Amino acid sequence: MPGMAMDQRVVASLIGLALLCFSPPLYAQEDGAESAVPQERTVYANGHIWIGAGLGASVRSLSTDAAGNIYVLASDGTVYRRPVGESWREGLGPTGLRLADEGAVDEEVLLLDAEGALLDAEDLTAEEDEAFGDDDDDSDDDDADEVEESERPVESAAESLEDVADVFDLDSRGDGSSVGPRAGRLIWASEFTAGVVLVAREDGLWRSEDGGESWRDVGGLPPVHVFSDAPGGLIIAGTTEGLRFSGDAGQSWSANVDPISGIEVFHFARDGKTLFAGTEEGLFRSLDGLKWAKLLSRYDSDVPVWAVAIDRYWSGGLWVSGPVGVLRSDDGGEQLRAAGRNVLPGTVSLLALDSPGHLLAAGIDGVWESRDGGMRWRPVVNGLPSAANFRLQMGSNGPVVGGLDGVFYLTVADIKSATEAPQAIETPDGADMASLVVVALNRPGMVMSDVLVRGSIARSLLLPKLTISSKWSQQRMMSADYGARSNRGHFRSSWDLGLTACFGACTSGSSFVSFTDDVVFDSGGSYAEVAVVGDEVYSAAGEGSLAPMAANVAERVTRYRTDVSGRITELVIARHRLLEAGGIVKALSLKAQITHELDLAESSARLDVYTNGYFTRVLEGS
Amino acid sequence: MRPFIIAAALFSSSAYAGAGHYLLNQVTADQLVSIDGVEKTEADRIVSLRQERKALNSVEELRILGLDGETLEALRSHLATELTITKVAKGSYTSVEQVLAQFSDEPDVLKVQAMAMDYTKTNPAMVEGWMKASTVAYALPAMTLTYDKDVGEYTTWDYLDLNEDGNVGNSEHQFNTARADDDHGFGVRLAWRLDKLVMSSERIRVINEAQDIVKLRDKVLDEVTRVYFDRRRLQVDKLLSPSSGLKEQIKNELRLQELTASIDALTGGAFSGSLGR
Repeated sequence: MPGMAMDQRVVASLIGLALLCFSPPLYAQEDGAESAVPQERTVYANGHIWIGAGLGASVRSLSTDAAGNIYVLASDGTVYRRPVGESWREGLGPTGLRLADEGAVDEEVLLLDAEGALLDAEDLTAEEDEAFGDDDDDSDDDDADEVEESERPVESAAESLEDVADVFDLDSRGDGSSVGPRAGRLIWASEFTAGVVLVAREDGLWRSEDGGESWRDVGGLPPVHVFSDAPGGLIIAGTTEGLRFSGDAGQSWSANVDPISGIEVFHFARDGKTLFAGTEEGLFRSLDGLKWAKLLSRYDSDVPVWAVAIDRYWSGGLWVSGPVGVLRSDDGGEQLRAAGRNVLPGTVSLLALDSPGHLLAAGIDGVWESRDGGMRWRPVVNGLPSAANFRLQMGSNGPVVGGLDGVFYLTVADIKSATEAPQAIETPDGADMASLVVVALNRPGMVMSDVLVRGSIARSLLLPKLTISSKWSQQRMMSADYGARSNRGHFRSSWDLGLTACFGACTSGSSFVSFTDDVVFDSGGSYAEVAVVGDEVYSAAGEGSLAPMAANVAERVTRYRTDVSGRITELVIARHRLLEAGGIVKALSLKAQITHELDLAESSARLDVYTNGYFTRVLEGS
Repeated sequence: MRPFIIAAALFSSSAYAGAGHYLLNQVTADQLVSIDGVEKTEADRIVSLRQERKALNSVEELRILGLDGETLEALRSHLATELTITKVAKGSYTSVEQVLAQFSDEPDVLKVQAMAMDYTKTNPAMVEGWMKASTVAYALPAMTLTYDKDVGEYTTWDYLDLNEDGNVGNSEHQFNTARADDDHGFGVRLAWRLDKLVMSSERIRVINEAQDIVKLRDKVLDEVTRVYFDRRRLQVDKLLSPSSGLKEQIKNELRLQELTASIDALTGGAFSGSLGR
């Protein structure tokens, strides 16, 4: 079909253009780089879908351990755990529901909390039959049921900035101008010390040594953002008041005097023996978890870092995220720079995946995947009820995300679709990128043929300055002498026609038909006429200035034509991205749908600007 | 809806000064005349425009009257706009179309772009006309009309040769002559610069100016499009997530006024004129 062929060409040209525009020599293998690169990488943005994991509770924090067990801290403080291959189990009760041996409690609060917990437990019981972490060979019916459930609309999606800050667990930093991750509610499972799980919440720090079966209150810490294993059996905690460390698997905690002391620490990442800490004052590095040094990136040394991810397939490769978006480093954090054009501001969670440059980022714009180090991003939101699911972790069978709508894991939605080429977006003939560029560049004032003056000037020299002269005259003369002997007179009238053709500069003139002596063409007199083109001033009286003046105009036109072509390209690519996301947006809130609709309308209007309304006329079929 | 007006008005100057400062929708023609740089006729036209449009959104809306820059600046310094806060209950909308239909009485973005083109005189048809004219002009000849008149009178004396004895020689005639000339002529000269039909310095200058016009149009339309959709997003936000706090409401209303005034500045006040008030 011609239309389909055209669409495929459009997609191909888009991809090609994007590759040309955005493909620096990323992750070219260099000496010393690790070579543990898988032969095939999973592309989550293509054919994968988030499936509800059977826990509908609003998730505040999510963690996995080395065995693949999943631990969840719900918004009400309840701790859930899901051992590999089993269903969800409730561990620690909600905040305020103290254990029997924790002393006196308010009975009324206890009853209310217990009632809530009971209701939650009933919900859990009903959902326990749902599989989690199943292999891809599950029956289609099961998948279909789960997809249906996971695609339910979310009534509580963010509707305002305040809601966004709340849903995304962002907290005002106090100056009214910035926000950051909210501390104080966290669950973390140790990778090094099997069975040790820590929970920080409003009522203190809780610790389990048996994988969440039993819990003990081990006192308090300042509001905690993050825990991490560190060399030497240490566990370190990033808090609002700086770093704390424990040498006894979390039973007791100490502070240290170090450059990082007193600085709010948001996140840790570990690359072998090297630890990185994302703080309110930038990125720090340590080899032992106790002594830290700040990495002084040239431009971004003081940018708050909310999340850090190490690319273990690329020596020195890491990403950080924060209010300015995702930044990339190729030298272990020494230098940070924007990963790509779309930097995804508001990203609060990063997850490095199975190959160099492959990562997921989650934040206020949902979950995104990049396969080229952050240069290009594709949304991975199929199946997610809203964007408010942003806590990424790597589970035993792939990425897991938790948030307002519960816990979800990624699975292949349809094996067939995962292997097919991306579906082409229907674009009316004439509304593709090439046509739009042609229209934009053929607007009055943009046409290059107008200023292709080299040939024009030569042709102009071959054409004459043609003059036709006509003159009618009458002469009368009377003469007389004193003696009236020779009086005479005459009356004469005449009409003259002259044709003059003058070539070239006409300094001497060249006449092929002439009845007169008037062969000198009026070439403008002696006054000097000037023309200003850009920054240049030309004498327009002399023909010798024509070529350089035209060359200058041609250069300016060419430069602007290039600018316009670039803008059209960007607008078309952005519009295609919006169209691609259209199906996903339908599952989001009404406000998100309207925002998407307005974004689309704006992209159309901007294309109309550069095509004098052609784009809309084509879309409307007029 | 519970509309109420914030009495404190905002001026471009540092603070509300009282004397010499007026509210745009309440100022009288006499008060306008008291502002330096505002003529009586201009004051009358401003009041008429306000009556015609029921209310004015900002001083920028007065651009439609063709006021010069100095007058507009004087008005900006002395006039403020009332801030009307309309408390909107959160609506129960179920579809995108339903929400966007709330703004159906406002011009769409293509109309706003056309307004901006008209105001900035950057219509593509105008540029195209220049380009054609720069070529067609040389198809017409340069015509020169001349009229010559030459009137002359001549008198000739023939002096006789004298002999050595002082007598006139017999062979010589003695006479004087007189002559009068009266010549006149009409001439017409038509000159075609056939070479300039192909290329000329004037044409190059027109191309250069046309390109500047295209750049200006792109810039203006891009800006007015951006502001238009910023305004629409704010309107949607107000509709779907109405702020409960007064401070936030004032902030949103001010932003809406600012965006409306920005569009008016780019459309010469035509945008506000097209809003259904």
